[in-house]
Amino acid sequence: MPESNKKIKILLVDDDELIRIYFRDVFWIHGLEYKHELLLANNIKKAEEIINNEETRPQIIFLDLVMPIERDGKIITTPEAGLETLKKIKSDPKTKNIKVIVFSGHKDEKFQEEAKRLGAESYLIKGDNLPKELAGFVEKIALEI
Amino acid sequence: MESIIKLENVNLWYDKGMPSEVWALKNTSMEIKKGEYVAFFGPSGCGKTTLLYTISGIEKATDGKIFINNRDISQFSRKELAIYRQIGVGIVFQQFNLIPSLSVLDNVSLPMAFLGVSQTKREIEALKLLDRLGIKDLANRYPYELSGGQQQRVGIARALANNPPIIVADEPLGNLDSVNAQKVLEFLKELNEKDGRTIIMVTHEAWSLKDAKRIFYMKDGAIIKTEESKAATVAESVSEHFYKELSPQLTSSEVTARALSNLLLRGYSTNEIKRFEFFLTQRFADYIDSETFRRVLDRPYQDGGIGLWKQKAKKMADYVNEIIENKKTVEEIYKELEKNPESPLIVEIEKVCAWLLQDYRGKISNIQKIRLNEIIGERLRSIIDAEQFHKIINLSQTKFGIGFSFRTSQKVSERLEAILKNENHGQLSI
Repeated sequence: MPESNKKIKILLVDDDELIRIYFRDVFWIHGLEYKHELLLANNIKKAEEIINNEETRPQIIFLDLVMPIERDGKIITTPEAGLETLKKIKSDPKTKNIKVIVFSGHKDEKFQEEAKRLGAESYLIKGDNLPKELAGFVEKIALEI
Repeated sequence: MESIIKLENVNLWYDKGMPSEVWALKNTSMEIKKGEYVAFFGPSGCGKTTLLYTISGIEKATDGKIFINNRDISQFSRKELAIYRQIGVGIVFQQFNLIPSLSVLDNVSLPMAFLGVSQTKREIEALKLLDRLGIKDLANRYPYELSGGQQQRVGIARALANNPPIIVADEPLGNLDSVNAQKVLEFLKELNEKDGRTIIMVTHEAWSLKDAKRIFYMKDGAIIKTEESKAATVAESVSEHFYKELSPQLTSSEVTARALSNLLLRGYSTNEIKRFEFFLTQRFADYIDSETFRRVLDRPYQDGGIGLWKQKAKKMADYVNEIIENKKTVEEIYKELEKNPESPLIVEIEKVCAWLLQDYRGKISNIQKIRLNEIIGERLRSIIDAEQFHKIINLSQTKFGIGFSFRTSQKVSERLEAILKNENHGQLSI
């Protein structure tokens, strides 16, 4: 087992509590938490704090698309929230090497193409993975770090 | 190996503080390693199912800690427990618990639907599981169209749906005949050995413990003993928990053991006879050897034995050895009869006859002996039944019987039936 300071940091950004619990439990049940450190953010602001802090900056991000975001003083929920965050990460020299996997319920090819264009490593559809497959995917990506 | 399940001082009360309060789990501490196959064994109401459901996140402990992969689930919220139940454990129930209005495919898919898995993906995965269980052809049927064995296989497929590392089986054999029960046991073993899953089986049937590597003995809500499972030690230690209710489909060993226990321990208490019956079953199934059997018979009752005198224990163990030997002879006879129904089997029948008369102190004429051999042959060929056999050997020679006293007739008849029990002789066409 790697020492804790050598664990790969993986951040999940999702406003759905059940998805956060599910993701955490997949780590727990399938033994990933021994190898990697899972960080959770329930909104974009919290995610940015984690990403911009060198101490907590993850090497891998699982990013939901449809999340609340502030627009003209109002909170709206839109896929643009995730895409904008992805764009920020990939355009900042300090964070552009972070592997970003879009983790979304949207199957729409338009979003998949846009995510790819913005530099996402992969696009994972939430309903297409069983727990063990998700764990396997995390392992595979972590090996590339 | 690291532990996957660890309990520390877990207590569970039902209706605490009320007149109906029950202390269902008492200061329970235990540890199960990853990839182990264990069993919780004990009589009905001992708390084994409560313990299983507590580990599975269905029952909530009153106090204590329940670590799964080093995380204490006793502190989990309802949402957290709901997800743990979906991905951490797969449960196989005694009553199958299938949803009657859903097809087999939909029943197996259901746990995946709870996780938001898409319908296409669910169907692909469910069909894979049904294929693995050998029931892919039943995908579109409904539970009421299936046999008990088929329903339990659907139940196992459903338990595997989200690929959980822990499989718990709550009396999974209780509603199955012996053939299907055996299949389920084989499959649980495969899940353990091939997939590396941790298996916990709850049972009150000693014979189903054979694949478990460790057994937790439970009584009155507490684990009173944990033991590495070796055939002999299971048999020797299981007696005090023995409340075995034999299933309608008994094995050959069980049938013989039941018949003989009442015969050999006449005058003993029901508990002594039941305990004896259990060890006899183990002996017939060859799970324990003659020496272990003799020791159990000799051991005081309060220490888990039968409490016979040394000499009687030895005599009884020897007698059981003879039965085992003679059962082999009978098996050979049936094999021969299957090949050639007209085979006279003179030597084999004489062997059985000599054993039946081993303790007979009276004289027997040549005519009586020839006649007795004929009657034994007729009984072996199922031309006559046990009752007719008993009657004929008790009849006087003038009425073409053997002329044995009632007591001798009974003894000889019982001995013969002891080695015939559950043999396939009723189906021979002679």
